[in-house]
Amino acid sequence: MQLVKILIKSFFIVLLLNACSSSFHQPITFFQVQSPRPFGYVIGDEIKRRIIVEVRDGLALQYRSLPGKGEINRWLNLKKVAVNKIKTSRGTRYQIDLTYQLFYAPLEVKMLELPGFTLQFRQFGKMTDKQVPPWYFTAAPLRELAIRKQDGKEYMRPDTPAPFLDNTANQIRFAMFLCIAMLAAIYLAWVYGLLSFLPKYQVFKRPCRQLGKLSEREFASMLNMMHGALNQLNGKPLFQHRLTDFFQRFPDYQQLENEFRWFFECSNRYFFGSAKQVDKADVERIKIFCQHCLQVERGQR
Amino acid sequence: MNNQLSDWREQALQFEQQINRTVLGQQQAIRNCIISVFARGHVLLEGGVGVGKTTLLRAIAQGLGGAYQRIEGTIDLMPADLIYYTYLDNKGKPQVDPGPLLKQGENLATFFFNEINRARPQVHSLLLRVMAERSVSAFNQVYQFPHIQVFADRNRIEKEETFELPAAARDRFMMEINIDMPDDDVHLTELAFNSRFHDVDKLIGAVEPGKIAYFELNELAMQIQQTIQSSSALKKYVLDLWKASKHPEKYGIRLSDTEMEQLIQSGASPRGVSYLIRAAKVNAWMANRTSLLPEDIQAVFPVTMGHRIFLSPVYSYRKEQLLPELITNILERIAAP
Repeated sequence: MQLVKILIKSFFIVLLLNACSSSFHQPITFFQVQSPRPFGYVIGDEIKRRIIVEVRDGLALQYRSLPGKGEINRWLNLKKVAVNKIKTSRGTRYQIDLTYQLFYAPLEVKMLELPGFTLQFRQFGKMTDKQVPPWYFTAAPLRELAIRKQDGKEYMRPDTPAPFLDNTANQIRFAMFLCIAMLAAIYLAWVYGLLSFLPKYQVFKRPCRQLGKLSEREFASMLNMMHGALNQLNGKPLFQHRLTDFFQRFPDYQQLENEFRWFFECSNRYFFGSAKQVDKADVERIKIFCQHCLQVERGQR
Repeated sequence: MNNQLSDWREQALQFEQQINRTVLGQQQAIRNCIISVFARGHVLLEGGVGVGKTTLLRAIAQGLGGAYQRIEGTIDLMPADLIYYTYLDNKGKPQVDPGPLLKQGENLATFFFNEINRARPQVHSLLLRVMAERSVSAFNQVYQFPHIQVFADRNRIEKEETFELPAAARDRFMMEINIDMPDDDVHLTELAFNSRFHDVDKLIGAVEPGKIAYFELNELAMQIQQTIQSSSALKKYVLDLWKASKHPEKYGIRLSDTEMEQLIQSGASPRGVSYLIRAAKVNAWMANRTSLLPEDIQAVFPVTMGHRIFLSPVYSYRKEQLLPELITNILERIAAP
C-alpha cells in the first residue's frame, strides 16, 4: 500500500515536472518536410519539396532565410519559391514550396544532395532557428549504358512509342458528322444554284415527251397538260388576261407571246366555247409550242 | 351575237366612255356599275367623303333617263317617309302625297338611297322588298316598279349613329363597289384645277340624257343572259370558286396569322352566285363574246362576292385586310382548267 502511494506521488511529480518543462513553450509546434521519390531523376527534371511549419503567435518567418531563386550550385537551380501563410487557432502555418531543377548528367547512377538550410523566425527581436535537413536522391544517366560504336558513331535509342488510345468510336462519329456536313453543303449549293453542271429540272420536258404520245382524240388532256406546265412555271394558275404580268416575270417567254395567246384562245374555244371539233393542225401546234417553251427553258432560244 | 345585242353593246360602251369623262379615275368602278345596269342588279357604293359616289350615280341616272328619285338616310327616317308625306295645303287642308318611291310610279328607273347606313332597320326591311320584288304595298294596293334599280351608298369613315346593314339586305345587292380616291396624279390635278369638275350640276347636265333606254333594259338583260353560254368546264370552275369561298382551306388557301378552318362563318349564297354569273355574262357581252370565260368570272368576283362572305367574329375586326386577301387568293389558287 505504501508502495502504491509512492508510485502515485511519483507519477504526479513527473506530470508536474513535465508540465513545467520547456516543450509547452516550443515556438515551433509542427515541422514537416515532404519530399518526392528519391530516385529516377534525369537531367532537366524538376524536384518539388514542401516544408510545412507551424509556429506560435508572435513568431514571424524571416523570408531572407529561405534559399534565393537561381543557381544553388553548378548543377542545381532553384526555379520557384512559394510561401503560403495561413493563420490558425494556435498560431501561423507556413507552407513553403520549393521547385528545383536538376542539370546534372551523370554517366552512371549517382547519389546527389539537395542542400539543407536554416529557417529563421523572429519574436520580439529574438531569433529562433529551424534546420531543414539536406535531402539525398539518385540521378540516372540519360544516355544508354551500352554504347554501340559501329562505324565510329553512337546513337540514342528512342523510347518505345506509346500505344494509341482506341478512338474508333470517335472516328465513326467524325465520319458521320463529316457526311452530314457534306450533305448540307451539297443541299445549300443546290439551293443557291451553284451545281450548274447537274441536269436541271425542266418544267416542259415531261409534257413535251408525253404530248408526243397523244393524238387529237385526247385533245383535252393535251391542253390540260400544257396548262399544268404553264401553271407550274407561273407558280399559280395562269390565265389569258394575266399574260402581261406573266411576261414581266418571265421575260424570256415574251418572244413566244403570239403562241401563248393562240394557245389560250384555242383552250378557251375548246373548254369554254361552243366549238368542240379539233383541228389536226392545232394538235401539232401545241406540240411545237411546248417544244418552243422547252427551248426557252433550256436557254436555246 | 345578233345585231341588236351588238348595237346595244356599242351604246353601252359609249355610255361608259361618257361616264368616264364625267367621273375621272374610276374606270373599274364605272365598268362595274355599267355591268350592274345591264345585269339588272342593285349596287351598294362604299367610299370616303367627296370621292364622287353621288356624282357617279347621278351621271348614270342621267344617262339612263327615266325617273330618278333620291332620299337621304337619316336616323329618324321611317319606312312611311319613302311611301308618302303629309302636309297642309294652301287652304289649310291636310294632304297626302306620294313619297319618293311612289311619285314616279312604274317609270321609276333609278332610286338612289344616300347614306343608307344612317337609316333604321325598318327602312332597310322596306328596301329589301323593293329590291327583291320590285314592288311595295301601300294604300291597300301593290305598286310595281319593273324598271327600278337601287343604288345606295355608305360612308366608310363615320360609324357613329349608323345601323350596319343586315346580311340579308347586303345579299340583295348584286355588287358592293368600293370607290377610292384616284391615285393617278394627272387625274388628281385635273379634278383639282379643271373648273369643269367644280360645278357638279353642270357636269351631270353634260351627260347625254336617255342614252340608254331604261324601259328596254329588262328585255335586253334577258337576251344577254340567254345569249351568253357557259360550258361545263366553266361551271366546274365556278363551283370550285363557290366552295372555296366557304372552305378555303380545302383548296390550299392560307392567310397569314389565320386559322383557316375557323375563318369563314358563312360563304356566298346561291343568290350571290347567280348574281355572279349574271354579272359575268354581261362582262362577256361587253367584251363581244358569246361564251363565258374564267376572266369574266374573275372580273366581277370581288364586287359580287366580297360582301357575301362573312368572317367569324374573332376575325371580323380584320375583315378589311382579310377579305381582299382571301378573294385574291381564291382567284389565284384555283385553276380553270
